[in-house]
This record gives sequence, structure tokens and C-alpha cells, in this order.
Amino acid sequence: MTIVLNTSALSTFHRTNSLSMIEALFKGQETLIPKAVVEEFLEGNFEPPSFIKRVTLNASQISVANSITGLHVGEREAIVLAKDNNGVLITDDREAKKKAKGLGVNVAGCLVVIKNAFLGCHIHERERDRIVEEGQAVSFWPDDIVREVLSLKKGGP
Amino acid sequence: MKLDVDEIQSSSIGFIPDIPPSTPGRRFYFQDVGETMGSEKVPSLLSSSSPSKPDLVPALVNRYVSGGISIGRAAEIIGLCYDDFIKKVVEKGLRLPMGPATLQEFKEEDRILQSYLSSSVAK
Repeated sequence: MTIVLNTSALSTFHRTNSLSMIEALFKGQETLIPKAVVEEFLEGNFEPPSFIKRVTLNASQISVANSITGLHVGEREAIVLAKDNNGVLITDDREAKKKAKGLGVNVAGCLVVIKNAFLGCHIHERERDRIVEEGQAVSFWPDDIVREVLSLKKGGP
Repeated sequence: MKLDVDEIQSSSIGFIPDIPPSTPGRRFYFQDVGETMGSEKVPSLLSSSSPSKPDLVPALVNRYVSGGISIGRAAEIIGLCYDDFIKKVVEKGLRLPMGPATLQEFKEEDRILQSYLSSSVAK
């Protein structure tokens, strides 16, 4: 199966220096980002780590992506990529999430990625706390959900 | 293609004139969602440091919050890359709510990801 990162997720994990957590959590799986996301992010001045595969969509996929309104091209392409690969789109952008769900795409946010990385022993508690704290400064996650994630202990719910 | 504020202000993509034309002010117009923002909101968008140019960041944040455009699209409208737009939002003390809106939505996302992870392990 496939994981697709859109710009909001890439930005959060890059800013919090936690892309290695993504690699560990989804080890052996395909992690994709559309080329347009790379171009959107930091105006293209970003080289994704080798475990993330950059994908250029074909004409048919671009046509579908262009029919989605209200999103940047990178976000549109990420949705199409996740749909065509029956994958999970990682995004925190609520509009992108809404559009993706409307097209039947499975969606998860950065906080559940962090939670599962912690419970799967890919990051320590202190590292989880740091990523959440630094991520919240730019991702504006709801306080009650942040508290839920930070309250988890190994062997807990 | 990036649009700067002047381009937005002068183009039919960024603004459309009020109707009737004699009415002062302009309206924001987002072509891809086909919605306008009333001209009564425009004065509050003027930046104090640059009174001749409207500060589009609060309007775009509002537009994202009320639904219709993504953060990436908002950044594109104002001619910034994603991270620079976020920086502008933070500088202005605004908030862009992201991630799950409710605990229930968070749990649903968690279920999806755990289902994915367990099926990956099974393979």
C-alpha cells in the first residue's frame, strides 16, 4: 500500500525534523509525493529524502486533478495519487481533506502519524512531545486532541 | 504562475467591481469557488503600513476557515510558497485551524491509519 504526503504534512514533518519518523513508521512501504508538491513547498528549494518517491502524474491523472476546485495543484495531485494507488493521504489541510474524502480517499492527519509512531516505538516520548510542540506552532492543531496525543503512554489506549 | 497583490487588485481574477459601478470599493472574487466577499470587509483588510495595498492574508485565512480554498491555494493567490504564507499568518497572530476538527474525527483517522499499518504488516 501507499502513503501520499501533501504539502501541509511535508511542511510539518520537515519543520519538526521528523521525516525520519515517517521513514521508520512506513518502512518498506511506498511513500509518494507529487512533483507539484515539491515545487509548491519552499518554492522547490527542497530535496526530499530518498525514501520519498517524487511522482509525475500522467495526462489522465492531471485531467482528474484539474477538475478539483479550491486547491493548489500539489494538493489536487496528491489526492489523485492517493486515490489511484488506493493509499492513505496524509494532510492537515481541512479543505484538502474534505475534497479527498468526497472522492473516497482515505485520509489521516499528522497527529495520528505521530501517535502511531510513538506507540509503535519509532520515537521516544520526549521526541513525540518535541514534535507535537514544534508542530503545533505552525499547524494550529486543536488543543484537546494535542492533549490526547501527549497523554498517551506505552501500553495505553 | 504567481500573482502579486497588484496583479490581483487589477485583474478580474482577484477583484470584480461593485455593482453598480459608482459604489465605492471592490469585492474579492475567488474564481475557482465562484464566491465573493462583500466590499464592507475591504477597509478592514487595508494594511496600516501600506494603506494603498489591501492586506489579503486575513481575508484568505477567513476564506480557508469558512471553507472553499485550501492553505496552498491561499498561498498561491497571494503569490507566496506554502511555508512563507504560514509565516505571514503567524506574524499577524492569526490561526489556521488544521488537522482533525473533533476528537471523533481524530479517532476515525487513527482507525484508518491503524488499518493501513496492520494490513501492511500482514503482507
